[in-house]
Amino acid sequence: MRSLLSGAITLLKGLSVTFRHQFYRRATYQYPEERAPIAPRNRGRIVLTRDPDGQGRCVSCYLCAAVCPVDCISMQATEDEHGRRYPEWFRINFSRCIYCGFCEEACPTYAIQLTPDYEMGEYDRDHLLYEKEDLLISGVGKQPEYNFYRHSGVSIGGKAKGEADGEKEPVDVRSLLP
Amino acid sequence: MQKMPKVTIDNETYDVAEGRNLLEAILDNRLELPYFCWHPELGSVGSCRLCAVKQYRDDDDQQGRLVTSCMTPATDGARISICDPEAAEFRRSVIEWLMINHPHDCPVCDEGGECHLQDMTVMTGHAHRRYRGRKRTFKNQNLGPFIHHEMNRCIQCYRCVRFYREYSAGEDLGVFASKNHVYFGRFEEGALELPFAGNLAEVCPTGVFTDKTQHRHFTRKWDLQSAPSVCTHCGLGCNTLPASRYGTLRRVTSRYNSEVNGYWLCDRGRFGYEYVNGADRLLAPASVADNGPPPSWDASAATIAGVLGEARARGTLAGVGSPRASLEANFVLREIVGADRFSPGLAEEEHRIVTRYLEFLESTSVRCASLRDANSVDTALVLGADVTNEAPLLDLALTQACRNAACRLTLTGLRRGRLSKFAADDLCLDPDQAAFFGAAIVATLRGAPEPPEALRDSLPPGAHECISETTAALSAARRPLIVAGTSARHRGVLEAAIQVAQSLESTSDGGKQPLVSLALPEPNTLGVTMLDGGEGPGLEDLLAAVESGRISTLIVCENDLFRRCSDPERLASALAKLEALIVLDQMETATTARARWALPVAAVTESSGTFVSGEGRAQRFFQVKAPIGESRACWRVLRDLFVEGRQEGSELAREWTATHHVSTVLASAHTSFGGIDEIAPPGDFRLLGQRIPRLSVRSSGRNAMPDMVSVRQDVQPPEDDDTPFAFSMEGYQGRGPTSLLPRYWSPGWNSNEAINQCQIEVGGPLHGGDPGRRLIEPGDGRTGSDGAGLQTVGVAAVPKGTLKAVLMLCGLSEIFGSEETSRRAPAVAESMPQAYVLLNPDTAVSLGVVGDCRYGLRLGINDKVREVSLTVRVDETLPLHVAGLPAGYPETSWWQAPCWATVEILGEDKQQELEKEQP
Repeated sequence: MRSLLSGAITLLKGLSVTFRHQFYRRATYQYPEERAPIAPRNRGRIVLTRDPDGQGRCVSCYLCAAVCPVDCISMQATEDEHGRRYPEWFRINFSRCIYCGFCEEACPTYAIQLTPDYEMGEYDRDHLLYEKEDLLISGVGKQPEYNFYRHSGVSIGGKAKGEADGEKEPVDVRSLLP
Repeated sequence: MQKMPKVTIDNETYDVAEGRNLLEAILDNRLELPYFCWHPELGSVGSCRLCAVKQYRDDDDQQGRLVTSCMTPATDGARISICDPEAAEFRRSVIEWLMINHPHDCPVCDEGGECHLQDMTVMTGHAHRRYRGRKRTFKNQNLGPFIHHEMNRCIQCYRCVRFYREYSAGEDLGVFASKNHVYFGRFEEGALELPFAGNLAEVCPTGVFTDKTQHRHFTRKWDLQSAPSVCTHCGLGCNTLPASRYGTLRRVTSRYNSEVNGYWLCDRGRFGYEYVNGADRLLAPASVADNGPPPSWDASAATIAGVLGEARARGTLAGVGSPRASLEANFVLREIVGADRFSPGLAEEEHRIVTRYLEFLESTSVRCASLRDANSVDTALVLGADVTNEAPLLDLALTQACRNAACRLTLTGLRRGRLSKFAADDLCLDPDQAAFFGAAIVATLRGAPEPPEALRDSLPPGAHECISETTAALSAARRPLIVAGTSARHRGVLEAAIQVAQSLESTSDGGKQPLVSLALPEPNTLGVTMLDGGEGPGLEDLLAAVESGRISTLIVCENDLFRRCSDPERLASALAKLEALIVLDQMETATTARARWALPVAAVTESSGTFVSGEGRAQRFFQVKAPIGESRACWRVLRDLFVEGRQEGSELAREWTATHHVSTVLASAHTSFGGIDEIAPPGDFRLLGQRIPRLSVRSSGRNAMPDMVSVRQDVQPPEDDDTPFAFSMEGYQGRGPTSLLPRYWSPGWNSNEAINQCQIEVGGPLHGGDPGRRLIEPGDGRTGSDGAGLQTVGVAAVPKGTLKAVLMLCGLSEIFGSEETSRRAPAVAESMPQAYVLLNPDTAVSLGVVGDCRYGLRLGINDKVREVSLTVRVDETLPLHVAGLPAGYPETSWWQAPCWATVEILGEDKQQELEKEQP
């Protein structure tokens, strides 16, 4: 009898919780009409950003590809006539990507960045192969000021030797002056 | 046996070889110590101070002192400490100082990922740049098509100039300025002159000098797919590590072999690889008979096998092998057509020369010199060869002999060259005279008081002292080396060289080891000649048989007959007479253009097989990448034809499914090839049941490859029965046998300095022995002929005419341009000279021409007249009566062996006309 009573009380307790929730704010979002707020550092769709001068930041160093645990990034480096290196093509297979963000961490130029966009669904899986033109955005993304070639020692169009930040004038090798 | 010195390193006692320094002692024992400027071949200079360790006087010394280990001999009883905190801190500081000026370049630097500086920075533990000042910068130079210069990255180890100037005796790269402004470059911008400049990319511990051809299609080391291979651009058989990515070849680096090339490669070998990616590669089987869609492989094989079978039954079939195809391919072709119908595919004179050389090697106790042997000879006589251009790495070896062993060098090439500065005697002789010079030495060696008069008169004045001096030096030498070349196309030269070596051998008291070397132009020239064994017809005989109709079906394997035959018109009309010409080749040639069937075959880097180098060393090369287009390994195509033809003996060929099956059959069928099946592990070799991966474990991007048409990734890596390697990053991760090392890597050593970890002793042989096996070792008995009949083959008599216009046409080998495949590589093509005729300035004056201008020339050889437009170049070292033409150029392929010709200069309008006609 005693156990029957305690059983009934437990049952009612549980039901009361359920009933109480009728008056709570709803936690479910009616996606896609309604969207959940996303933390700004949420790791979603990968983009390639541009430097403040408007040129692609990626220098095709292959570090993101090397660090990628699912090997879903590949590219081919090339160079313009002034020595600026950039990817001839850049490809991410989003059907394999696990959005771990290692590529962003490895990137020495802040080129590759993960954005909070998570809506990557496709009816055709082949559409998940993103090429450079799909990845490159027209903004700087995070680290808006950074421009790798301002710090690098190589000369590119518009920046000769000795013109980068923190560089001295090129040495005159014919001079023996101190 | 002498007691080995014992050195105590961090309280452990190690045995050390005699004469080593502390750094070598440490590395020999697989301990880790950072270093920059020391190199096993370049020695120690102690300029970087990175290899500092603490040395203690004795067991009681607790204080110790810092010493530079590469400058301190490893004496018996020495006590040192590597991990002493003070030494470790000192080494960390050295890196920190170097990093003050090192640019922020790693992401865009070609060295990144295989950078010795990166490795050493990690090894010393330097991780944070404290210096906040500005960095020193330099301007770069354009150093030509091979080497990229980025001087900001320099750490002043001096390795580049030590290699360039001291080791290789180059002159145009030097050090400028002082203190921290030290600059390594040329006095003026321009292409590096040294034909070994590519080694700078490997010697430089950071990214100052990098491979410019790789720069254009850059790939990191960890992404490269590679396998051991052998260089195909001359007959020396240097070991290489070609590497590919996304289906194209990306670079070639040297593969260490202490017996052959050591650490080095020449620029032709390193930069000639791009022909493999060329637009003129054959991609699919083609047939002129069909106008419809291109024939499939299976259909072509069935039809061709039928044609071959029919011709064989009628007895009208013949086959032409090739010195640039593997032994396996040549062997299968020989099985199809029969030994008496197989021509090795060498030019007529070259065939005779190589056959004679082989006959000599097999019967003598004179040793055929390896490159390592050539490094330490004490007297060298080069007869009628241009070593620098014909066998570049032999030049580097002789440079070492002259630098270290004070080798007495006698040169008798047509013109002066790089080695001339070391030469005690440097006569510029035409091939005839070189042969006479050799014959005079033979006569003197055999005790004639004076060389015969006939010989003396044909030599220029001043040669007589050279004869007696060279003879004296050769008689006194312990290790004399006689070098002859094939590009002179002169049997007399080789005969003289053989007789000199033989005479030295027969007069030897036992302490003398005469060496001989013949510079061969192609990777398998010796191998295909050994296979032929003198049984098959030469190219001339074959041509005659085709003309007379006795041969109506010809199958040519990887050979452009127009490079071998001195009469292109005759060859073209003979080929036109054939009922069927079947050509298997990698690329479009003049021969494939005339073929009824042109079948695409894989390049050396796309297939596996065996080459026999000029030294007689059989070496295995392994497939690096999948063949381009529909091409297949040459031996496999031939085997399919063999099986399909159902001829006698072809049942056995059904079981030849991998390269090693063919090599095993070849090894048992020919005694001279005994053991070639054992030079490398067979295709079914496994370690712990696994293949050896061609890709590194860090290889990236396999789920986003460009050839991926769909994300379903249903493309499998190609089947590979031929090699123990996998087209994958998966497989045995330990270190396999050294003949199967696909790359040099060791934990903490990402740069090519990881080679140190694969050697028994740093700078010595590899663990498990250097790959390859010498097939021809000197016999014990002196069975060689004692030179009863020294024949010198004179060039036919001078034709009548004004002497002014009668010149001896001689072939000049060019390192860039004379070799068939490398001249199709863009970087090499940029470096090769235009087709030319080289004259002595006095001859040029008497002909009324000036240097570096184009002229129309009418050349009369025997009764034939030929008109060509060529650039005249002058060289004052060339004999007056000689006109030099570049060997291996299509513009001058109508001409082969040295001969006299009447030379006439044509008018300008005629020259313009010729210019238009020439391709």
